[in-house]
Amino acid sequence: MESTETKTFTLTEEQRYQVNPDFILREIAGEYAIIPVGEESIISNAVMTPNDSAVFLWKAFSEPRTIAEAVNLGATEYDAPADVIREDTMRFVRDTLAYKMLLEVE
Amino acid sequence: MNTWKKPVIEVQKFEANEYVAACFQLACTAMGNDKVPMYGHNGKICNTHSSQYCGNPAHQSLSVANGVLSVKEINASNEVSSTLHTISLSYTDNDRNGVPSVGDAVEWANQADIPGIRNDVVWHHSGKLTAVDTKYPNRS
Repeated sequence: MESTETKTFTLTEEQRYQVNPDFILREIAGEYAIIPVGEESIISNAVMTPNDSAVFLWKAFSEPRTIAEAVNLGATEYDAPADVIREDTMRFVRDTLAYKMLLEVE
Repeated sequence: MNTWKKPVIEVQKFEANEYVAACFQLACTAMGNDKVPMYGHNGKICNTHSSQYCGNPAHQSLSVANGVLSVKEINASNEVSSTLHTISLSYTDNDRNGVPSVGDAVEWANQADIPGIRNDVVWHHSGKLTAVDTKYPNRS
Protein backbone atom coordinates (compact mmCIF):
# COMPACT_ATOMS: atom_id res chain seq x y z
CA MET A 1 0.00 0.00 0.00
CA GLU A 2 1.06 3.60 -0.41
CA SER A 3 3.38 5.14 2.04
CA THR A 4 1.25 7.35 4.20
CA GLU A 5 0.91 8.47 7.76
CA THR A 6 -1.36 5.92 9.32
CA LYS A 7 -3.42 6.24 12.45
CA THR A 8 -3.46 3.49 15.04
CA PHE A 9 -6.98 2.34 15.84
CA THR A 10 -8.17 0.84 19.08
CA LEU A 11 -10.71 -1.81 18.27
CA THR A 12 -13.66 -2.33 20.60
CA GLU A 13 -16.25 -5.06 20.88
CA GLU A 14 -19.19 -2.71 20.44
CA GLN A 15 -17.87 -0.74 17.49
CA ARG A 16 -19.41 -1.49 14.13
CA TYR A 17 -17.43 -1.20 10.93
CA GLN A 18 -18.51 -0.87 7.33
CA VAL A 19 -16.81 -0.76 3.95
CA ASN A 20 -16.13 2.76 2.71
CA PRO A 21 -18.37 3.35 -0.33
CA ASP A 22 -15.40 5.03 -2.01
CA PHE A 23 -14.13 1.51 -2.69
CA ILE A 24 -16.04 -1.01 -4.76
CA LEU A 25 -15.56 -4.76 -4.98
CA ARG A 26 -15.96 -6.28 -8.42
CA GLU A 27 -15.62 -9.82 -9.68
CA ILE A 28 -13.75 -9.88 -12.99
CA ALA A 29 -13.28 -13.18 -14.78
CA GLY A 30 -13.49 -15.11 -11.54
CA GLU A 31 -11.06 -12.84 -9.69
CA TYR A 32 -12.02 -10.12 -7.26
CA ALA A 33 -10.74 -6.58 -7.41
CA ILE A 34 -11.26 -3.63 -5.10
CA ILE A 35 -11.25 -0.38 -6.99
CA PRO A 36 -10.92 3.06 -5.39
CA VAL A 37 -13.51 5.36 -6.90
CA GLY A 38 -13.69 8.22 -4.41
CA GLU A 39 -12.01 11.54 -4.99
CA GLU A 40 -10.68 11.62 -1.44
CA SER A 41 -9.21 8.14 -1.50
CA ILE A 42 -5.65 7.98 -0.23
CA ILE A 43 -5.10 5.05 -2.57
CA SER A 44 -5.44 6.05 -6.19
CA ASN A 45 -4.25 4.82 -9.56
CA ALA A 46 -4.40 1.32 -8.18
CA VAL A 47 -6.41 -1.83 -8.20
CA MET A 48 -6.41 -4.12 -5.20
CA THR A 49 -6.73 -7.86 -5.37
CA PRO A 50 -8.02 -9.45 -2.17
CA ASN A 51 -7.58 -13.13 -1.47
CA ASP A 52 -10.59 -15.30 -0.67
CA SER A 53 -10.60 -14.57 3.06
CA ALA A 54 -10.28 -10.84 2.45
CA VAL A 55 -13.19 -10.98 0.00
CA PHE A 56 -15.23 -12.75 2.65
CA LEU A 57 -14.47 -10.07 5.24
CA TRP A 58 -15.08 -7.31 2.72
CA LYS A 59 -18.51 -8.74 2.00
CA ALA A 60 -19.16 -9.25 5.71
CA PHE A 61 -18.46 -5.57 6.34
CA SER A 62 -20.55 -4.45 3.39
CA GLU A 63 -23.09 -3.76 6.12
CA PRO A 64 -22.34 -2.45 9.61
CA ARG A 65 -20.93 -5.26 11.71
CA THR A 66 -18.86 -5.72 14.82
CA ILE A 67 -15.72 -7.79 14.70
CA ALA A 68 -17.44 -10.52 16.71
CA GLU A 69 -20.27 -10.71 14.17
CA ALA A 70 -17.80 -11.00 11.30
CA VAL A 71 -15.85 -13.68 13.17
CA ASN A 72 -19.05 -15.66 13.80
CA LEU A 73 -19.88 -15.50 10.10
CA GLY A 74 -16.36 -16.65 9.27
CA ALA A 75 -16.56 -19.56 11.70
CA THR A 76 -19.65 -20.89 9.90
CA GLU A 77 -18.03 -20.49 6.49
CA TYR A 78 -14.44 -21.57 7.10
CA ASP A 79 -12.75 -24.54 8.64
CA ALA A 80 -10.49 -22.67 11.03
CA PRO A 81 -10.30 -22.06 14.79
CA ALA A 82 -12.36 -19.04 15.84
CA ASP A 83 -9.37 -17.41 17.56
CA VAL A 84 -7.37 -17.53 14.31
CA ILE A 85 -10.25 -15.94 12.40
CA ARG A 86 -10.65 -13.38 15.14
CA GLU A 87 -6.98 -12.43 15.14
CA ASP A 88 -6.89 -12.16 11.35
CA THR A 89 -10.14 -10.19 11.30
CA MET A 90 -8.81 -7.70 13.83
CA ARG A 91 -5.67 -7.20 11.78
CA PHE A 92 -7.76 -6.80 8.62
CA VAL A 93 -9.98 -4.22 10.29
CA ARG A 94 -7.02 -2.33 11.70
CA ASP A 95 -5.22 -2.23 8.34
CA THR A 96 -8.25 -1.27 6.30
CA LEU A 97 -9.24 1.43 8.80
CA ALA A 98 -5.77 2.92 8.43
CA TYR A 99 -6.34 3.32 4.70
CA LYS A 100 -9.94 4.44 5.15
CA MET A 101 -11.17 1.42 3.25
CA LEU A 102 -13.25 0.55 6.29
CA LEU A 103 -15.12 3.10 8.38
CA GLU A 104 -16.27 3.15 11.96
CA VAL A 105 -20.05 3.54 11.90
CA GLU A 106 -22.84 3.90 14.46
CA MET B 1 -16.08 -25.70 4.45
CA ASN B 2 -13.59 -23.40 2.82
CA THR B 3 -9.98 -23.10 3.88
CA TRP B 4 -9.21 -19.96 5.81
CA LYS B 5 -6.11 -18.04 4.80
CA LYS B 6 -4.73 -14.92 6.33
CA PRO B 7 -6.72 -12.14 4.62
CA VAL B 8 -4.49 -10.19 2.28
CA ILE B 9 -5.20 -7.36 -0.13
CA GLU B 10 -2.52 -6.88 -2.74
CA VAL B 11 -2.21 -3.39 -4.20
CA GLN B 12 -1.18 -3.00 -7.82
CA LYS B 13 -0.28 0.54 -8.67
CA PHE B 14 -0.71 1.97 -12.13
CA GLU B 15 2.42 3.73 -13.23
CA ALA B 16 0.99 6.11 -15.79
CA ASN B 17 3.45 8.11 -17.82
CA GLU B 18 2.14 11.54 -17.02
CA TYR B 19 4.27 13.23 -19.64
CA VAL B 20 3.04 11.22 -22.59
CA ALA B 21 -0.44 12.58 -22.18
CA ALA B 22 -0.13 15.58 -19.91
CA CYS B 23 -2.67 18.26 -20.59
CA PHE B 24 -3.27 21.65 -19.03
CA GLN B 25 -5.62 24.54 -19.36
CA LEU B 26 -4.15 27.83 -20.39
CA ALA B 27 -5.66 31.28 -19.96
CA CYS B 28 -4.19 34.35 -21.56
CA THR B 29 -3.48 37.05 -19.01
CA ALA B 30 -2.23 39.59 -21.52
CA MET B 31 -5.24 41.84 -21.18
CA GLY B 32 -4.00 45.34 -20.44
CA ASN B 33 -0.39 44.19 -20.33
CA ASP B 34 1.61 46.54 -22.49
CA LYS B 35 4.62 44.23 -22.43
CA VAL B 36 2.82 41.69 -24.55
CA PRO B 37 2.80 42.82 -28.15
CA MET B 38 -0.39 42.56 -30.06
CA TYR B 39 -0.28 43.43 -33.68
CA GLY B 40 -1.90 42.70 -36.95
CA HIS B 41 -4.26 44.22 -39.42
CA ASN B 42 -1.37 45.51 -41.47
CA GLY B 43 0.39 47.02 -38.54
CA LYS B 44 -2.60 48.25 -36.61
CA ILE B 45 -2.81 47.34 -32.97
CA CYS B 46 -5.13 44.46 -32.45
CA ASN B 47 -6.17 44.62 -28.82
CA THR B 48 -8.71 41.89 -28.71
CA HIS B 49 -7.55 39.79 -25.79
CA SER B 50 -10.67 39.09 -23.83
CA SER B 51 -11.64 37.15 -20.76
CA GLN B 52 -14.40 35.69 -22.88
CA TYR B 53 -12.00 34.32 -25.44
CA CYS B 54 -8.30 33.72 -24.90
CA GLY B 55 -8.68 34.77 -21.27
CA ASN B 56 -10.92 31.81 -20.62
CA PRO B 57 -8.79 28.86 -19.43
CA ALA B 58 -11.20 26.45 -21.09
CA HIS B 59 -10.44 28.00 -24.48
CA GLN B 60 -6.84 26.83 -24.72
CA SER B 61 -5.31 23.56 -23.76
CA LEU B 62 -1.64 22.74 -23.84
CA SER B 63 -0.82 19.10 -24.35
CA VAL B 64 2.49 17.33 -24.15
CA ALA B 65 2.84 14.21 -26.24
CA ASN B 66 6.20 12.50 -26.37
CA GLY B 67 7.84 15.72 -25.29
CA VAL B 68 6.20 17.82 -27.99
CA LEU B 69 4.10 20.75 -26.86
CA SER B 70 1.04 21.93 -28.70
CA VAL B 71 -1.78 24.34 -27.99
CA LYS B 72 -5.31 23.56 -28.99
CA GLU B 73 -7.45 26.62 -29.53
CA ILE B 74 -11.12 26.53 -28.72
CA ASN B 75 -13.25 29.15 -30.42
CA ALA B 76 -16.06 31.15 -28.91
CA SER B 77 -18.50 28.39 -29.78
CA ASN B 78 -16.52 25.95 -27.63
CA GLU B 79 -15.34 24.08 -30.69
CA VAL B 80 -11.81 23.32 -31.72
CA SER B 81 -10.90 26.25 -33.90
CA SER B 82 -10.06 25.65 -37.50
CA THR B 83 -9.27 29.30 -38.08
CA LEU B 84 -6.78 29.97 -35.30
CA HIS B 85 -3.36 28.46 -35.73
CA THR B 86 -0.59 28.44 -33.17
CA ILE B 87 2.53 29.84 -34.78
CA SER B 88 4.87 30.03 -31.81
CA LEU B 89 4.97 28.46 -28.39
CA SER B 90 7.39 28.50 -25.50
CA TYR B 91 7.21 27.83 -21.81
CA THR B 92 9.26 28.77 -18.79
CA ASP B 93 9.92 25.93 -16.41
CA ASN B 94 9.16 27.92 -13.26
CA ASP B 95 9.35 24.96 -10.91
CA ARG B 96 12.44 23.59 -12.69
CA ASN B 97 11.08 20.07 -12.81
CA GLY B 98 12.05 19.63 -16.44
CA VAL B 99 8.55 19.31 -17.83
CA PRO B 100 5.55 21.59 -18.30
CA SER B 101 3.53 21.63 -15.10
CA VAL B 102 0.94 23.70 -13.30
CA GLY B 103 2.23 27.22 -12.71
CA ASP B 104 4.72 27.24 -15.55
CA ALA B 105 4.55 30.35 -17.73
CA VAL B 106 3.66 30.00 -21.39
CA GLU B 107 3.93 32.45 -24.24
CA TRP B 108 2.29 31.62 -27.48
CA ALA B 109 1.06 33.33 -30.57
CA ASN B 110 -1.71 32.44 -32.90
CA GLN B 111 -2.83 33.68 -36.22
CA ALA B 112 -6.28 34.00 -37.63
CA ASP B 113 -6.84 32.37 -40.95
CA ILE B 114 -10.23 33.25 -42.28
CA PRO B 115 -9.87 33.51 -46.04
CA GLY B 116 -11.01 36.82 -47.36
CA ILE B 117 -11.68 38.20 -43.92
CA ARG B 118 -8.72 38.01 -41.63
CA ASN B 119 -5.45 36.31 -42.27
CA ASP B 120 -2.91 38.87 -41.21
CA VAL B 121 -3.61 39.10 -37.51
CA VAL B 122 -1.23 37.73 -34.96
CA TRP B 123 -2.07 37.62 -31.28
CA HIS B 124 0.74 37.19 -28.80
CA HIS B 125 -0.46 35.64 -25.58
CA SER B 126 1.00 34.87 -22.22
CA GLY B 127 -0.38 32.93 -19.30
CA LYS B 128 0.23 30.18 -16.81
CA LEU B 129 -0.67 26.52 -16.95
CA THR B 130 -3.52 25.40 -14.73
CA ALA B 131 -4.85 21.94 -14.02
CA VAL B 132 -7.76 20.66 -16.05
CA ASP B 133 -9.17 19.36 -12.77
CA THR B 134 -7.64 20.67 -9.56
CA LYS B 135 -8.59 17.47 -7.71
CA TYR B 136 -6.63 15.47 -10.26
CA PRO B 137 -3.61 17.61 -11.24
CA ASN B 138 -2.46 15.09 -13.82
CA ARG B 139 -5.79 14.49 -15.49
CA SER B 140 -5.93 15.29 -19.16
